[in-house]
Amino acid sequence: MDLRKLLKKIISMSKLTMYAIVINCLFFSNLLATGSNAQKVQSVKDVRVSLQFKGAEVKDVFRAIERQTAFSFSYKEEDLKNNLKVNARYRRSSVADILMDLSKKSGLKFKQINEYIHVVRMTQQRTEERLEIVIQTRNVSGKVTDEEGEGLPGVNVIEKASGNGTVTDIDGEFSLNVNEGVILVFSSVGYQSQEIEIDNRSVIDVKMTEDITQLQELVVTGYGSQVKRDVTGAISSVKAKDLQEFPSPSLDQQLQGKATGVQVTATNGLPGAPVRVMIRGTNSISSGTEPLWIIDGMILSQAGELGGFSRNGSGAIGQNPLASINPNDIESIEILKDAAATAIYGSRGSNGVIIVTTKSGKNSNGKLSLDITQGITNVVRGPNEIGFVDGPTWIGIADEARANADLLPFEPNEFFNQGRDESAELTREEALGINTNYFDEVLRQGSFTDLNLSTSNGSDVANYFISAQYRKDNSIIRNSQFERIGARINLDLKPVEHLTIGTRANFSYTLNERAPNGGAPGGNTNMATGGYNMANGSALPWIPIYHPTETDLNGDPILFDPLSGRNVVASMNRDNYINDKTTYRGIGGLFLDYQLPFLKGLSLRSEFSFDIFQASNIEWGNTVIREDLDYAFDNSVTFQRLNYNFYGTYNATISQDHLLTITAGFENTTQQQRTRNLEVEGVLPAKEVGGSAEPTRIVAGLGNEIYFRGYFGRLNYKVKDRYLFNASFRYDGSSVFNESVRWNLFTALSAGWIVSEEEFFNFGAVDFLKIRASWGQTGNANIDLNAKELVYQTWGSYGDVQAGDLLDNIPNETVTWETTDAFDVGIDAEFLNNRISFSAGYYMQDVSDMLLRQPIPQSSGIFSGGPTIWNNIGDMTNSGFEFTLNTINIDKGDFRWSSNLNITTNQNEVNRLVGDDTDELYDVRSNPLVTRVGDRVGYFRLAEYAGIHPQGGYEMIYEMDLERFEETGERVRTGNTIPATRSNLQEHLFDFTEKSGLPTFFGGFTNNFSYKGLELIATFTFQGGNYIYDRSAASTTSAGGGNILRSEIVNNTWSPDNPNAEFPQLMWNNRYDVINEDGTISENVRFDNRRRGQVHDRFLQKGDFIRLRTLSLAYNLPNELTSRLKMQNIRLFVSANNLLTITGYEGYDPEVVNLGEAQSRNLGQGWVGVQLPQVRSFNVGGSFTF
Amino acid sequence: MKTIYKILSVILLISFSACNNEEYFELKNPVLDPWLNVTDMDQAPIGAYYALSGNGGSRTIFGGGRLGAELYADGVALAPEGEGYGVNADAEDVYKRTPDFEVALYDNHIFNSAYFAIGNANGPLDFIEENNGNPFPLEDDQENVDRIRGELLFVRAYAYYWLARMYLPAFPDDEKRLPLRLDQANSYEEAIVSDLASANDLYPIIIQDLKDAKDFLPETFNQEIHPSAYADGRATKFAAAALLAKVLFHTGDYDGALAELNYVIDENDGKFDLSEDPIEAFNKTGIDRGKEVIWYYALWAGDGLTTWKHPGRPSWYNATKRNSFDPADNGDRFVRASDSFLEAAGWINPDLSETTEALQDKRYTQLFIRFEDFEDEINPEPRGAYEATRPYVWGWKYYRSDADRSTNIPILRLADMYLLRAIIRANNGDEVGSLSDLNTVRNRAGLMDFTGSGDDLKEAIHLERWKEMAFEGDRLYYLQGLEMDIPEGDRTSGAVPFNSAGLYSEIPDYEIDLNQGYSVATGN
Repeated sequence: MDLRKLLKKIISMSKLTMYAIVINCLFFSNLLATGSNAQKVQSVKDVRVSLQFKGAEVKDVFRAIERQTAFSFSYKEEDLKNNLKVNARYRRSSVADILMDLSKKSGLKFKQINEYIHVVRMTQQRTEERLEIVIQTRNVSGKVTDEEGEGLPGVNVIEKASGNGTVTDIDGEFSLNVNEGVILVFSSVGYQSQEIEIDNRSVIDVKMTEDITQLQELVVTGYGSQVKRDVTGAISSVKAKDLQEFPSPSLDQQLQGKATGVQVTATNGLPGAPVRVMIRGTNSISSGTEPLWIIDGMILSQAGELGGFSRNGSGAIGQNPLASINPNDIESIEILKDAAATAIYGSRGSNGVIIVTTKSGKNSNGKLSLDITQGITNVVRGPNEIGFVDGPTWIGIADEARANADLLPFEPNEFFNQGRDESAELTREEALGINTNYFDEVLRQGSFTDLNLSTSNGSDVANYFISAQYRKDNSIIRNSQFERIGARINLDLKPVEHLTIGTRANFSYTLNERAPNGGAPGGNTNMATGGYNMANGSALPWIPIYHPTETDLNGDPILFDPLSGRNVVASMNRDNYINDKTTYRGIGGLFLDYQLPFLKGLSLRSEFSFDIFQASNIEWGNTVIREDLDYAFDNSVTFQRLNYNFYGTYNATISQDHLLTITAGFENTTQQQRTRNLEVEGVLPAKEVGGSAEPTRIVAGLGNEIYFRGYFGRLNYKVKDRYLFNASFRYDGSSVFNESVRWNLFTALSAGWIVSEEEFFNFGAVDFLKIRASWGQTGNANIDLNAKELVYQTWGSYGDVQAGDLLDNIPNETVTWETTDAFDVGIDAEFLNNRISFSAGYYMQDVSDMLLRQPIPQSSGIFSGGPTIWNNIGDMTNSGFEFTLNTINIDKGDFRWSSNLNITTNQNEVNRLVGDDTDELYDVRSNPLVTRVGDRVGYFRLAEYAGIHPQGGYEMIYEMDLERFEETGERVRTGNTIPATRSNLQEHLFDFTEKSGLPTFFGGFTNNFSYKGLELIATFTFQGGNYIYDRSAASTTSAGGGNILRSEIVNNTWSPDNPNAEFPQLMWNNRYDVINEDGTISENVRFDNRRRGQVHDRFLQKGDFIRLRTLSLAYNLPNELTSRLKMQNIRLFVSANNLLTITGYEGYDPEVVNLGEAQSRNLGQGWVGVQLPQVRSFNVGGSFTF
Repeated sequence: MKTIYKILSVILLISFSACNNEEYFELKNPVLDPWLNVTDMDQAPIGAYYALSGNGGSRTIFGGGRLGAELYADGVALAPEGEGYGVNADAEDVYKRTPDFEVALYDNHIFNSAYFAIGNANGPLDFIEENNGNPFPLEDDQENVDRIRGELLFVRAYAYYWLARMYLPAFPDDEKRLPLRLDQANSYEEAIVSDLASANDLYPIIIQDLKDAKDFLPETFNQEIHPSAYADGRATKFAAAALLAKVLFHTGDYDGALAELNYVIDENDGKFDLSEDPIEAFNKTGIDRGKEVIWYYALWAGDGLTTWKHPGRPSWYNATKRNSFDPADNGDRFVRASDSFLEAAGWINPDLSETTEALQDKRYTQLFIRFEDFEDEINPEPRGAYEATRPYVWGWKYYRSDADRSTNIPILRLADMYLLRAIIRANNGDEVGSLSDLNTVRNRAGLMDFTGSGDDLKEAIHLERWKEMAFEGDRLYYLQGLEMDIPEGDRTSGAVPFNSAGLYSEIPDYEIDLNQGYSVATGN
């Protein structure tokens, strides 16, 4: 092949492919054909003859050889004219030896080309070879394609025995002269090598399968990239292919179970709802436990974005900021986990970094893809699955509970808000005739449609990727839907040599119509906003939706008690209530990459990126659900985040064995937000805020300002292709902190050793083995922007319109970064021709100066029911193991089965909290979770349930040795049991230090089966080691609280006739007559708990589960068919999500995440009430590539 | 390697030259000092008043404070749960005068709200004091600065007074129990620890604050000097004096109290009198006030939206609830007038029937309501759910204006002042003066003059006060001020001494857990 032509074509390929070829060149140097013997055509060296001559002419010798062998000589007569007489005796000499002898004597030289031996006279050059052997064998050609049938350029095609080989051209075609019957090895970066016996074939077409080990792939490391093989930090990489099992509403959800160390928990099944992502457990107990997200170089804001931009009043679910990014645009996601990888992000890297790279044009053939998916969604496990009693049963239980407490039979009218709605009256008889399933009034079958169109193309000077997406989700909650329209343009231009300019631009529009999920009128809106939680709370089954007797003026039925909040049919009707959130978002930027022509190896890169967000949230309610006037609240937020960086990278080869890469640069990030709130009364129709009605309140202002600056540098040093060293630093300053504590330096060191490169390493089965270790520091600066300020809010109005100052924050001027010292060791290996690859590692993170909104005494005067102050409060260690195993279990013929298993374990221990070592964080008003020195974050402190008193019918708990507690602080049992009275629940609390709300292990297990065009993928995710307190079970198994009641208590409560029941005697007022040890009776003793956290452990359950997250079956139509249709590929698939869950947890769903502010996500995890349900979806779709 | 150094230095040079560091970090919209002028400063007392109503729902200090005070005393009883009336377990325990009991329903109503108000008063008070009483000398507005200072001191004293009554043993007592915050915490260290105060520590502080407040406050709103907001529900010199009189009386300083009472009653220059019917103190909203009202808490919302601070708790001890004028709609009420009170007042006969005397008393006819049993044909218990087996009398002093829940709450009334002076005068032997004060109140209620003397006079004053101040959370503290036993009322557990341990709550556990002042105090 013409080398220049080849190179030209290579350059015109995409960047990544080019890298791949460069790497190929490094590893496989023998690209050009060299001589070797054919099987039938023997070399002159291999053929022996016996000859004897006396005074013979050279020609005679030739003839003699010709007679005895298959060789024939060709020569010019004139070259033989030297009258040499040959006198020689050759006994079993090789023809080569004979020819060499002749050459020395005659000055002739010989060249064997197959069976021909050409004879010429030598010139006078000394270096000339006397004998050259060229075996010209037969030609084999063919085409190498990828799995989608596209020609694959740059594939090495090498004859195994000789090293003779070539590479495929731009169309994937090759041609090579080979010996008969040899084995050809086809190899390319990112694909599995294949060995193929040529037999008698002259045309060999090969389909390459992607290599799941991907050791040679480039991994984005932040401000640069590196070959995975050389990476010394802990980085998980997820490629587009693995994300596209089915189109998900947001890209973080698609990460579930895909990457080691990354725990993704869906809040619920509502489209657009936030998702919790944690890398290697909790590294902080304060605000920032979410990783840093970077999309094409844009550092997404943590405080602003992950908190969402909306007023989440009326129980509306916040919106996931990543919901505005189209998952189909993703090329790869890299998750940087240890400090070696994240320290370059310094003060924001301690929770890990997720780098998202979007697709770019790379296919010179051009490509247009259309993806269509549709699906239906259902509740995985909701109230109907748990089972609650119907209306008449409820009243029966209430009557019994009231009779046991010496009260009159149940009176429906006690429940109604007759002060607001006089018609809300119901007789007992009417109530007994009603049976409403409010769950069905809230839930429905959902559906979604996802359309995605993308096109890409590329040439020497430009390539592009353009996509557009439309997605609409009708949620499983009635009257809520999510819609996204998005477009992306990614463009790379090479206007002049050495310079690349590119843009990444993503624009999206989302509309989230949110259902209410609040309750009775109250708060600023004063609207009745019952929703799902209300249906699972006090929307009782005997309360009618429509008034049984009264009608409106037209004779139509009227809603029953709509102002109470219980009538979810009233609030979940868009004629009465609207909560719409629209967002317009642009994320994008411009980059310049300049390879200095005069200084080889040095490139400079600058990236300017922006994230501009305009969100508007209108909440409106009419007089059906609000007394007085209609009301509207218009919240509008304009957020802007600008990021600018500049850095240089220098690649130096000091000698063949010493490779060095240096990166250094700086970065600025600024962020601002302007918020406008407008409140109006008397607005009709909806959304006409600012129309005829006078605004009642307007608030506007600039805030959420952050100015951030960092300097960074990194050094990669590789010796002999096996010893890897990496050092990085970052020096960061943030406006969040006071000047004196503003700056901090974060450094990291790491090293790797590719043992398998060593000569002594000789284990045939092991193809690759790397050991790596790292240490580094990262930080967390994610705190309230005003933590260091004395802040008064001005809104508390008294009497007339003037607003008053309310103390909002007491300053802590010394609050500074939380710092994490991370230590990481790991091993990466591949076996059996890369059919098995595994990676195992241990990580330990020492967090110091943990940031916390530390609870301070109520008497401090801050206007809050639980005042806090930002403080650096202590130290914590967080450690665990990570394990990944990729295997190709079967690869035979067209059938292939591969698996991926990843498991991460996590343990944490608090090492220090402010003050002495007995300090603990515990707010019994909120929950029973304790964070204490020497123990795990957020373990449960509970009374210990000891069954039902056989004669009294009330709950018992184990007694704690109070004297011992007084003396030593130890909480131990005396062995006695005591009634679970209010005062006993207050004092007899035990530390369940092994039971916390945070999982101790999690992971994913994916199996991929393919046969010809068929592909079956099953992804399981699992987690466990955590405990969940099912508060909802506690409140719905006890009568008297006005809650719906679980079916399981029917005939299962204590009574003299049923002393072995599982639940205590029904008691409306929670007061029991306690039988004392001496046989006396204390009457009417309170059994209700005084504080939320003072409860027993009956409803504490293990949270372990394994879930079949995705099951998908796809069919790629055969190439013959697609090419006849003039298409590149057609893929059809069906899939299901959350098809199966195996768990012992009896509550709503074990996949729980406590959202709210970040602190309660950590310290309050596992303390769970009614949850919005997860969804199961069934999807069908097709992907069409033209 | 030289090349590498060169390149590195070039990159670093470019990087570091990019900025002037500190300027870069300056916020465009920084947090400003809260008070830049006197107009700003006026937001401070508004916040402090507002803070008395708590942080959400209906958690006002008045709602819970008055409920607790009534439940401990003998003027109320609980309507029986067995007849369908509602119940609250905390309220039951308070009514039982259970000692060593932490009342959870006080958490938000009294403890938190009081410290919100104190916290929001301390900051601006510190600011004024640090600036020697006049932070804005250029504005030449000392009058308003003083007025603001006086209001802040008044609110702080009022909040502490509720705390002292609800969480401390009756004065005198020297057990240090309650967090004492007289300055704004300005750092973490200051926020997490406070001194603790006993009744003996705290009452003198309250008294001093009120004396100072009285000095600083003007007698009345003057539109030429004061911002218009000051016209509405704000403390004046008379309010400070009236509250001071009550606190002094409560601590046994009758002479001190008398001086303040004389000032309030005799020197108010016609601002307050008892010329109106009793109801007129209770049915006002907006900036209206009854003529006898010295200070009311404003509950109307000028912005039309801030509706959530309206107290809900009185629905437990009031005939109606906050959003309806019809007692049939109030499914919350269960704290009724006690039989012992009604008997003492002469408002019921031994057979529980209504007396003529009751019907002659404007307070009874205007501020109470009586329902017969639920089967009565003429005046049955109106709420269908309540199967009352006998008549009950309910207080009805709340939500009485046209604007129901936006009705202002009168807190310091002239009738209270007259009756307080009447008992002090009687105890001092000034029976003429005492009778005059007593009869001023009686006449306003439509009753004839009382003419007795000696203990009869004192008993008459006690009784008159009981009737006058019923359901306003007064009775317990009046009796404590006189160091009299607290009678059993309708209970059968006997009277308890005025300083009984069953008449206040334990400090909330969450404060004790977090306030290091407690571990210092106990040595733990």
